[in-house]
Amino acid sequence: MAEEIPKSKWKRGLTGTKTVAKMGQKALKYLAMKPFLAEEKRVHAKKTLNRETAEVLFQGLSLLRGTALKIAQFLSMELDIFPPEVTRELQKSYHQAPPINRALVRKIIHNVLGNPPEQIFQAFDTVAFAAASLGQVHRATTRDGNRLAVKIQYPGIRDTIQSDVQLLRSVLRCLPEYQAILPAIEEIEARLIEETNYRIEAQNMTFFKERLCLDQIVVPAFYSDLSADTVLSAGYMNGMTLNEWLRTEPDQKDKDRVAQALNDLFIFGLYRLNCIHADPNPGNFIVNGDCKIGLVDFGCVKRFDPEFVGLYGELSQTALCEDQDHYMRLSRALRTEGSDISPELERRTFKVFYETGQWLGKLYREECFDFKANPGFIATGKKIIVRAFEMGHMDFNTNFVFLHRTRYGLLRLFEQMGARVCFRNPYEC
Amino acid sequence: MKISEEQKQEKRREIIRVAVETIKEKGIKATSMREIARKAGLSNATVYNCFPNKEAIIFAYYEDQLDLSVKRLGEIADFNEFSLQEQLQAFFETQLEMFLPDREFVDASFWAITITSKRDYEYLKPIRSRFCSVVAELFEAAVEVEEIPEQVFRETIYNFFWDYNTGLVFYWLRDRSNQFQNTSILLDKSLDLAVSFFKAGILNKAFDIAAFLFRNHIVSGLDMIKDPEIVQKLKRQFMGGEDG
Repeated sequence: MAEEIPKSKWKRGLTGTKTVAKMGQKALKYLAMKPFLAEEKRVHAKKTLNRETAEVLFQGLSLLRGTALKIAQFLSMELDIFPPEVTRELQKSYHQAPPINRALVRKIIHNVLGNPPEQIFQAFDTVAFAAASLGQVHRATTRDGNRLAVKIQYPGIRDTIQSDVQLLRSVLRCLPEYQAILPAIEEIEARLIEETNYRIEAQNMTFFKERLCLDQIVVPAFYSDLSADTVLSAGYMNGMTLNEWLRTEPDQKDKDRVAQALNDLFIFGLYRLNCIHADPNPGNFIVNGDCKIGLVDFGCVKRFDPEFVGLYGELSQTALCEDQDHYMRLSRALRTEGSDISPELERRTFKVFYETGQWLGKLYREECFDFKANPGFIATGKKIIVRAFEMGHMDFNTNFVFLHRTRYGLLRLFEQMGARVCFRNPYEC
Repeated sequence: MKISEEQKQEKRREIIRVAVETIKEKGIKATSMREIARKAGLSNATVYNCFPNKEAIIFAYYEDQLDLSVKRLGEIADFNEFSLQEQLQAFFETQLEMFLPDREFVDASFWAITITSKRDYEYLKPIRSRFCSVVAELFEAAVEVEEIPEQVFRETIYNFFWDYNTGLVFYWLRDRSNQFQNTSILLDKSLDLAVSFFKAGILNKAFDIAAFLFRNHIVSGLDMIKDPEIVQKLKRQFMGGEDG
């Protein structure tokens, strides 16, 4: 009952796009999670998990709300316990941090920054304009007139996550597949905890701000004196989120430019910085009048070691020229230690890999790939990816999880935009 | 020489400040009026002129803090646009902020002032009624803009908030969480619940049921009691717990 009223207030503060975007992001997170369980005999888990037990368990967890609910949802999708309609319903209630009302916003700012908002900022809008990971974002202006986006977190959310996960563990212990699910829970907990530490996000933002030299990408400035681990102040990005912008029906030329910039961002990040912005949801890309893209939300950033990046680049080249022996050598090098696979499985893996290569290869075949002229590109790829996941050993290195998730997410955006993108780059082909 | 009202107020504030600091250090019992006078650099007579005893000083502290909190609320630029819950929340939070520098003093004295003896009630009464009048103002404004329906038992609601505030301060005094964030969460969630009650007019509905039951069953049931036998039986049961 207590949740009812603020929920509607919360909804008022949101733009529809952002909510949808966040759901999309969560769906991607789900995709990202799959391989973790794949390693833990996901298929086996699915078969043996008693459906009825799980349903009862889930009903119980739903009552808990918060993190437990979030994790229950993760698991329900992960183990395909429920029919798709139910899963969709679950996704709706997905990303709900408790709303922060104006009185509490003042209190948080006062606690964290030492004074109430009016004494710290020249202007501060106590009503949020967007949702953020486990918090919300407010417009503000600094004393010297710079516009800001200030991200605020509900107090004590980190403790809640930890105690909820603890609770969840004790409840799940009764399941036969507890051991198989455990790594997934740990991974989710770690990710949520990381998401709640805005200092890590600030470091990521600064990293990109200092190193990203792409004309079309703008990284907001970080205001360290107006930030702490639960409040993050960054320069305000003018413009519209990618989805809002697409609704204004921009020129094809502009759509192509934006899509190209996003792809360049990915390639530059991966091969030059060995670090990518791994959250390709449209709400994180703010497009302005010059088709420049403001990059926001650095909560999910993935760093790779240079050796992996080198091998990955080679792997892409191999996929394109279909060199089986070379591929085998690379795949052995990339495999996580101790995960030896049989020659038979290796052969089958190559087959799926070959198909994936063929599919991705289309992107490079011509100077520019036109998503409009190739409808159903993602759908075809999705089938191959699903087959790959079913093989279990496709993602032998967890680095692939973030990489694939980002790449796949970007391709989906490009298809949605109907853009023409040049995928050729010096690192992959 | 006659001293101005302003000087008098200044002296009063100084006495309260010295008393608070001394009580923080030594506790209430070990603090005497004489010591307060000495530390404030005033004569005993001057201190007694302002306050008859140290209890009066303690109550005066709470009265002042309440006034300051209300003043602070007035300084929040968009306070009038806040919802009822936000206004109440800001009011309670502001009071706790005012108490924060004197937390040890509040810890030492709050129990004594809220669970007060009959003798001290005259000191508590103005604080309580000032507090209730602030809550009343916020409620009336909310009714006026139709954020909540008219409420029955208004006085009871305002008094409930006084008790709620007392409980909240005790919780805060025992809160060991970082920056007392648990108190903020408790305040947020409990006010959310309480205001939902007022918005849904739950009290009004409960009153309706009670009135219905009273009219249809209690009042009509009174006829029964005309029988002297029943009255006697009830009386015996009530007085002695015998079954007649």
